[in-house]
Amino acid sequence: MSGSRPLALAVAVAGAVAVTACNRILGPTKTDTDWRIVESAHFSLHVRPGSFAEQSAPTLGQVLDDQYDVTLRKLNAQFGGRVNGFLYNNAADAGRESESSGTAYPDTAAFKATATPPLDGNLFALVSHEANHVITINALGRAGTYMMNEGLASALISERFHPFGPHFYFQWTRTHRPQLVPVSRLSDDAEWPNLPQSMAYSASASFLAYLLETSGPDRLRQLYYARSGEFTARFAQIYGRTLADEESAWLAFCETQG
Amino acid sequence: MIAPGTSVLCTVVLLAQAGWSASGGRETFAYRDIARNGPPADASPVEWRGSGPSMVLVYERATTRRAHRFTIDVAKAGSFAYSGPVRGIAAPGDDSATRLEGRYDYRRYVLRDRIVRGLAAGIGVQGGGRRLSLQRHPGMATEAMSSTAGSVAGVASARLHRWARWSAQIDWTNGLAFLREHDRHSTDVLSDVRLWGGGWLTDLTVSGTVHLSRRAAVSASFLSTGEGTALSHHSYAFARRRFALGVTYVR
Repeated sequence: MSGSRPLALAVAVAGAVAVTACNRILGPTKTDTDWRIVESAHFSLHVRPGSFAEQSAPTLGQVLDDQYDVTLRKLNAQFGGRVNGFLYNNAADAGRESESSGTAYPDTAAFKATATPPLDGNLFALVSHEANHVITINALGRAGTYMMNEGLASALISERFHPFGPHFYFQWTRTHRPQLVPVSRLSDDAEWPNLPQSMAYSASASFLAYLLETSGPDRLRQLYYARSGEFTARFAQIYGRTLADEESAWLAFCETQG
Repeated sequence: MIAPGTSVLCTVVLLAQAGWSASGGRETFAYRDIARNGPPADASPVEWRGSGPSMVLVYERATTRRAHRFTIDVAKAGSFAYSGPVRGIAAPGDDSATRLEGRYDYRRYVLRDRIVRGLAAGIGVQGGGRRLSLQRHPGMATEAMSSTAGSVAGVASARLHRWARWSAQIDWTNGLAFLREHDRHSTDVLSDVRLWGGGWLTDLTVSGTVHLSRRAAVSASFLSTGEGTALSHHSYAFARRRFALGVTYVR
């Protein structure tokens, strides 16, 4: 080989190597810097300049600060960290498929959510759910199952500013009985991804809110770490009754709500 | 995965002998948790970022055609902050990250003086092991994570030694890792969990060496690395940047 051909080949190979690097393909991308920060007592809310989220940030901060206190009180847990919230303009801005979606990153005390009008209970519940992931995992560690992780984040939602908290889920359970699957299936991580997600999230939230309301946080905190394979046995050990019996009691309880 | 400490090694390679090199420098460690694996990964907009000292010890046996390299790399990072895209918030002072790695790589230089006089391009394979320990303090609690990983990677390398007094080298390492992780949270012993997972790694090292004599050289190197890990209930990526200075003794 001689002349410019080998050089071109070398450049092409070097380029291919750089482009195909694992980290370039699989790794995270850099976050843009087009944000303003609105502070509340416990949250630093990052909003796009001039956006609906910027106008709404003081109210969302109030809702989230209340949620922060309610979550720690309901779990009888402690967490003193500050949470960074990133409120995107819409799904395209957030790189999401849904206009109402969010993601939590507990290790770095942050969450992302789309913040689209109107400023109502749906948006409050969305940001509260994501914030609850951050607060719960930092206060307790990682949950043992998807059911506990996702269900508890909704079960803990404060009802001070909107109705989409535990009582909403109790009523939802009463009106969606035919769609429910046994709790033993909800607690199975192998099954969780295949279940209808709306049902799985709501039923998990309802069951865990019921456990918190009727048996308190101490037992739930023990169950929190149980992994799928041991969930049913751990439940019986902690609550002194079978999961199936408690499930029947939960359904009966929901019939009396609302 | 490891910073190969290539800064000083090219000297050894080019002299077709065996030698030791030691490098020291400062390294930044930036961690982001991942909610959904990619591509691209859905990662936190905030980094848990710290920095601290890093040391690399390398033994290499080399000829003009091939090289065997053994590397031990240790680093400890502190002074962490939660760094967002606009500003950062200091993390508790006792947050820390400690890393110990060992690697072996074998490479062959298949293109020598073909493109540019003094330029040799090589390819190779690398195997390694790594122990990583992270400790965070959210609120009053302590959250600890430690992982033990094994990796297999490919290496592409180019070295330029056209002049007697100095040489330069670039190394690119890219591969897969398998790991076992242990997570625990001080709030409850029940939080203790062990997980299996896999991941990827990509390293890029650029180095330059000045040869002081037949047996001694000094060097400077820059390492940029990105690694990712996917486990059930816990995925994350981290990046390291290191600038190091080193010395080499050739037998």
